[in-house]
Amino acid sequence: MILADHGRAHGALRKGPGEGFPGRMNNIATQPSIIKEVRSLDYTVDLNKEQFERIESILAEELMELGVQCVLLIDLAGNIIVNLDDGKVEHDIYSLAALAAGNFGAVSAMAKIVGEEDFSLLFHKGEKESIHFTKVVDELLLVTIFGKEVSLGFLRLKVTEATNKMREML
Amino acid sequence: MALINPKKKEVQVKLVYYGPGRGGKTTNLEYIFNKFRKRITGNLTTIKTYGDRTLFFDFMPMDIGVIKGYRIKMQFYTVPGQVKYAATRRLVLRGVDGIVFVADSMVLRQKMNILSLKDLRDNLASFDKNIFHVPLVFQYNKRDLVDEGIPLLPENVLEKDLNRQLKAPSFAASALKGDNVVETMKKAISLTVASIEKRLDAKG
Repeated sequence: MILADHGRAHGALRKGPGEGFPGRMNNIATQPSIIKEVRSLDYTVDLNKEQFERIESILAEELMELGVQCVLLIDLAGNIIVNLDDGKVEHDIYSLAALAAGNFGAVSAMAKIVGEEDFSLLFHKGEKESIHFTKVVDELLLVTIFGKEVSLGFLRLKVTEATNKMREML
Repeated sequence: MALINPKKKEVQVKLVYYGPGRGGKTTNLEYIFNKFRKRITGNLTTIKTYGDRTLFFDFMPMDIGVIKGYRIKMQFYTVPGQVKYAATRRLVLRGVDGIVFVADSMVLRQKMNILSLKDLRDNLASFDKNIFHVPLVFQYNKRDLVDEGIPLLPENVLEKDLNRQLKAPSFAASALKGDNVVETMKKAISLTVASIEKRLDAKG
C-alpha cells in the first residue's frame, strides 16, 4: 500500500503565533554558567574541550586507578558526558546511561513520596559486578561499575573526592 | 537538549516517540531496529509490564553519520502511553531534541490522541519548551486496519484534530507493516539535526 506523505512544505523552523525560533537557544548561549538552567528540570551541559579533559583526568586519577571497570558521567536526560573504561569490558554504555538516568529519576520521585528531597546515592550489588551511582550536581550523575576486588568503602571515599573536584569546576 | 562533545567530536541527540497507549510507538522502534540492525550500536532496550505494555520506556541508539565534523548519535526513546504513567513521560521528555507523535487512526481513539497531544504540550511547557518550537512530526498510524474493515479516521480529520495549528509534517503509516515508518523517522531526524546545526557551527 502506498501511503501519502503530507510532509510537504513545512520546514524545521515552524513558528508559533508571533514568536521566533529558536529564541531558547540564543538565551542559553549568553548565560555564563557551564550548567544551563533553562527552567526547573531541563538542563544541559556545555563544556569545552579542556573541561572534558579535566573531568577525564579527575575520573582517571580517582577511580580508574582504583581498579574499577568503567566510569560514566551522565546527565539526567541520559546523555553520556564522559566515559572511561579499563579496556576489558564492552558494556552497552548508551543503554546503560539511558536506564541509569531513568532509574535515578524514578528513585528521586520515590524519595519525594517519603518526604526526602533526594536519595543522593544508589548501589546495586551483583555476584561479580556492582554499580554505584552518585549525584555530582543537580543534573549530573556519576555511575561506576566495579568488580569484587574493589572495596565499596574505598570506592565511596574516592567517588566523594572525585565529585568534590568536579563540583569545583562545574 | 543535545549534548555536544567537542573533544570526541560527537553529538548525542534525543528523539522521543510520544502518543497515546497502544498507538504503536514501540512497534515503530522495533521496525527501525530490525531494518537498520547493522547501524544500531546497542540493543533495543524495552521495559515491559504484564501484557506487553511499555512500563518505563524503550531505548535504542543509532549512528546516523557525520554532520559538520560531528558524529551524530541519535537516541530513540518511546514514552509509556498509558494515562497513569504521566510522571514517567515527563522523565523521558527531559532534554528532548525532537518528537514523533504517533497518533492512532482508529475512530475509537480520536479523543485519546487529542488528550495525549495536550499532555505533550503541557509536559513540554513544564520544561519551559513551547510545542511550536520543538521539531515535531506526526504519524497517523494503523492505516493498514482499513483492510480489516475497522473504522479509521480520515487523514484530514486527524490533521484537523491534531495539526491544524502546529502545521508539522505528517505521515499516514503502518508501523506493523513498515509503511512510512522510515520516512517518519528520516523527517524527524532531519528537522532535529537542522535545529542543532547552529550550535555545532558555534562550536566549530
